[in-house]
Amino acid sequence: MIDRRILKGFDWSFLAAVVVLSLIGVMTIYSATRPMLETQQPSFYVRQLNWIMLSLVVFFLAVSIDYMWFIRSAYVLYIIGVLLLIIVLVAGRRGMGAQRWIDLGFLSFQPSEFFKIFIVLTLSRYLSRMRNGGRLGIKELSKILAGLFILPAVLILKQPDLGTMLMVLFIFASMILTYGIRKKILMTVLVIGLIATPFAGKFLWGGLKDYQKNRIIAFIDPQADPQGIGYHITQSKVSIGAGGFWGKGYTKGTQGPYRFLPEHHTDFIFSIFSEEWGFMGSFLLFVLYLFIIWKGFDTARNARDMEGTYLALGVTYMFTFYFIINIGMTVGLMPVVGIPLPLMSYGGTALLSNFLALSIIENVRIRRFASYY
Amino acid sequence: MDKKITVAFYIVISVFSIFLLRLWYLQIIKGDEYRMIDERNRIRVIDIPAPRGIIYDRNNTPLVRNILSYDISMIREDIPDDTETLTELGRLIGLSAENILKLEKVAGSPYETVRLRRNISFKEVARIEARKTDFPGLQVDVNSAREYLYGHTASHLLGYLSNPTPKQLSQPEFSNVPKQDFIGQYGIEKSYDSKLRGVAGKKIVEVDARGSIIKFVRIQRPLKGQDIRLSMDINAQLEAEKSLQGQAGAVVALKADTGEVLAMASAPSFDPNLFVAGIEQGEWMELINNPDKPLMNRAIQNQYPPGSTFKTITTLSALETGLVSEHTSVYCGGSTYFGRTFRCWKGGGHGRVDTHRSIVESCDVFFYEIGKKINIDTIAHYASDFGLGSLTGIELDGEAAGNLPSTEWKLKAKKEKWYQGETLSVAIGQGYLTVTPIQMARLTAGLVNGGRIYKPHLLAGEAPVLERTIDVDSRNLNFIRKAMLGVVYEDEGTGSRARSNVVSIGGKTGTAQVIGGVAKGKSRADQHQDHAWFIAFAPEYNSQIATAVFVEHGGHGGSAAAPIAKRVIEAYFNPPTPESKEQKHEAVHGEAQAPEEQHQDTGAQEKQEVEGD
Repeated sequence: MIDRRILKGFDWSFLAAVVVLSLIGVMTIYSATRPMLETQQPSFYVRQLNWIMLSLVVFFLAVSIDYMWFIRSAYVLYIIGVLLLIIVLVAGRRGMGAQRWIDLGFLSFQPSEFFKIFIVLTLSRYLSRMRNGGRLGIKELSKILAGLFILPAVLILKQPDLGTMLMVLFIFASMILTYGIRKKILMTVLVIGLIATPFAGKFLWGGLKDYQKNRIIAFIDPQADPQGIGYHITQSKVSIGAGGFWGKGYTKGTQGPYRFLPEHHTDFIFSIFSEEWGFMGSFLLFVLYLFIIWKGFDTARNARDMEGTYLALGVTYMFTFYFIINIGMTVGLMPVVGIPLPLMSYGGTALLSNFLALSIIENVRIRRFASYY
Repeated sequence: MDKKITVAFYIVISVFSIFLLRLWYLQIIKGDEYRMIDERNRIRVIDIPAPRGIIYDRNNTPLVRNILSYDISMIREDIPDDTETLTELGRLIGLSAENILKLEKVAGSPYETVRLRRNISFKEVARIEARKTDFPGLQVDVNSAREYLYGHTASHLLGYLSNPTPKQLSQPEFSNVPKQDFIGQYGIEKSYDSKLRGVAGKKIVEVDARGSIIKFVRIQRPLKGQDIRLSMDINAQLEAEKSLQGQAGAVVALKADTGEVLAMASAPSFDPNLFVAGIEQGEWMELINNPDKPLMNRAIQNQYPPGSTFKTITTLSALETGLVSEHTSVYCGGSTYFGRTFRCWKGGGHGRVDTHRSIVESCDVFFYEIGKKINIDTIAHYASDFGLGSLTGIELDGEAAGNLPSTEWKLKAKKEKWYQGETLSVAIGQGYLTVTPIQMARLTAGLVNGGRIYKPHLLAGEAPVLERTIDVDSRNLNFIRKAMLGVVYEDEGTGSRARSNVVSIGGKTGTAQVIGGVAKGKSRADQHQDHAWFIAFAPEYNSQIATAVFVEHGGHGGSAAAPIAKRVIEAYFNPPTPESKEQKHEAVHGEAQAPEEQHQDTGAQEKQEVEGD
């Protein structure tokens, strides 16, 4: 399926950055889950390693299939994704106050993780084949939102999974903005948004769950409830701050094993990393992430066709949003939203879906010169 | 499109820059501040010792209990570094600065709890609590400590607790034992430590700069150790200890048909309660260097010749091999000649004695005559069947095996052949032959239960372990049982001091010669006195109890050991009423009380019981 020309175009540096980041993740998970009472190291890091192996296999398999096949199957995948979201609500497994998992016995996964990719596929197909000469009008916009956005958004909110819902919203907004939208509509949305915020705020506030409200309060004033959710933010800042310029050194951090941040190896993994590796380590880590994002944009710019461009862009946006929301939360610049750090946080489904998403960038990248193929 | 992508990438770069600035702010500008907060809200791991299992006697009388102990502890990190504060701290808690530093070294991680003192008084608790704020991290916590309800009683059997040694800590068996915890180091406490110990718990707490707990992070509750029920009977045990008071010696009483240990006393004893608060160096040295060796369990560690108690085995060997019969008789004129003169303990001789009377009166000449003819290996064969020369396998440390001479042994140990003259000495239980009290108790049980040798054991309710049934003629065993009853009840019997109104008792006296006399470090007038033995069983038929009594330098078995055996047996069959039990309890605790009764008796019947050779 892949001929030598395509193989030649394979960007190994991109894959290397992805693998290195996920291995740094394993290292940090090991340090973060060092036991305090028990003598045995929990097997989180081993499980994560296994998931990396599996994800790599999936990465290569996915790259070997021309992305046009995915574009052609986009709507079918979209429908499958919606069905899975419905199944989750009906027969999913509950965990930590939300119903997000489908349990297959031998493994369980969160369909919403994969649904984000299906959204990117669907939007890429839809937008790349729109030939209305530039900007979206009100009619097209409502068609997209009503047809593609509302149903999955409601289903995801129902789980409830505010983080993923925001993700889906951002993907829609960024891809639509990239395509272009009439200035009038953009201005109207902005103005209505500004005026409606106080009213909508009241309405939305009432609709939020208690823990979601707490997160927002804690973000605005971490000292209000230092033992509760604000505790996470404060502890996260303390541990990052205590890292200093050079960090405390690998496995020398105290936050992971001693502090029992419940999400220290998942959502708050960056605070553990930053405590142990300091400003220098965090800077280098940012460079790696930025490298992947830059490759994504570069791929979009040089894609063989519009489908490729939208695919690479969508995936890059998604990856970037994940990074920004997670780091923003950990460094105390944004409210706590349950969003993992892509590639590094513990969690099999998220890792696999990240690899799958990034494989699309590689997929588009290796076929950029193969327009006649 | 390209332009839009470029814009998007610039936006991304600006967000990254904001994040980097934020990190710079957190880690560099405010870094010191956060480092201080980080260090101040520290996490502590505090061990929660598991309550130890309770030890009961066979009738469910508790022998130990767990009491609350107020302990002083400090996190290693909080122990002051400068000598001045350290001395000040030492003054408050009553420890020298050196001792504190020594204890500090035991802890590995800086967050580990160092237990400085245990079981302090309420007064001290109040004093320390009042000044606690001067020493951040100083804690008075409540733990459980062992109290031995009967003090000195059964101290060798119960044993004591203390900190695990560094060597023990490195063993996998103790891998989950906190360094500050106590483990069994002697006796039952040691043998059944893994059962009694339970599993220590831990609590993780967050503390502020003063060391006060601000938050419980996690708690792992301790698991209480298992209780155990001993086969020991506290009444028999108390009586044994009381009878031995003021002397050195041992009493072992076994259940004749199971091998359960009913009493195991060793004197002098020690007070295991001394170890509860962590024994002080001085007290420990005193225990170790005491010439009377109070830490030695004489019941399983003393090795002395069995004296005439061994005549039971000599007789059985001779009967089994047909060397003598019930009707064999010998004229005892006070001595016999075999290479040299062998004297009977009774200078004037016993006159004509048959096999039965030779046991009753313990005539040495009769046994010399057997010794002239019998093969030493025949004696060794039967003695070995009855468990002499090998460990009984009791679940206590340090058991001695004694020595059972044979031709093979002599060749190996002395590189010499066996001389028949030596057999004469062994025939009356002297010479190379040495035994322990527990071996003799088991041997006695074997003589009266049809030749069944059980492994002695300490726990009640366990199935008896029958090691072997000795192939001997039951008529011969019956003959010896009758003779042993004669020792106690017939005229001229050497064990008449064991006569009881409560139960029929059979026994055999013995006296182990002190050769060359002076035991190391002894300065008492009785250092040349012989050691007294008495083995006994009761009742006459279906015997339940078999006992061996050994009194170091006690003189003669009949006078020094037989009354003890009688009292222990009576205490077992006729337990004291609750009131008199209370008295006994006190008697054992109040050490000053002298066993008057015994002295009187000894005077009255001395003549009759003099025995030896």
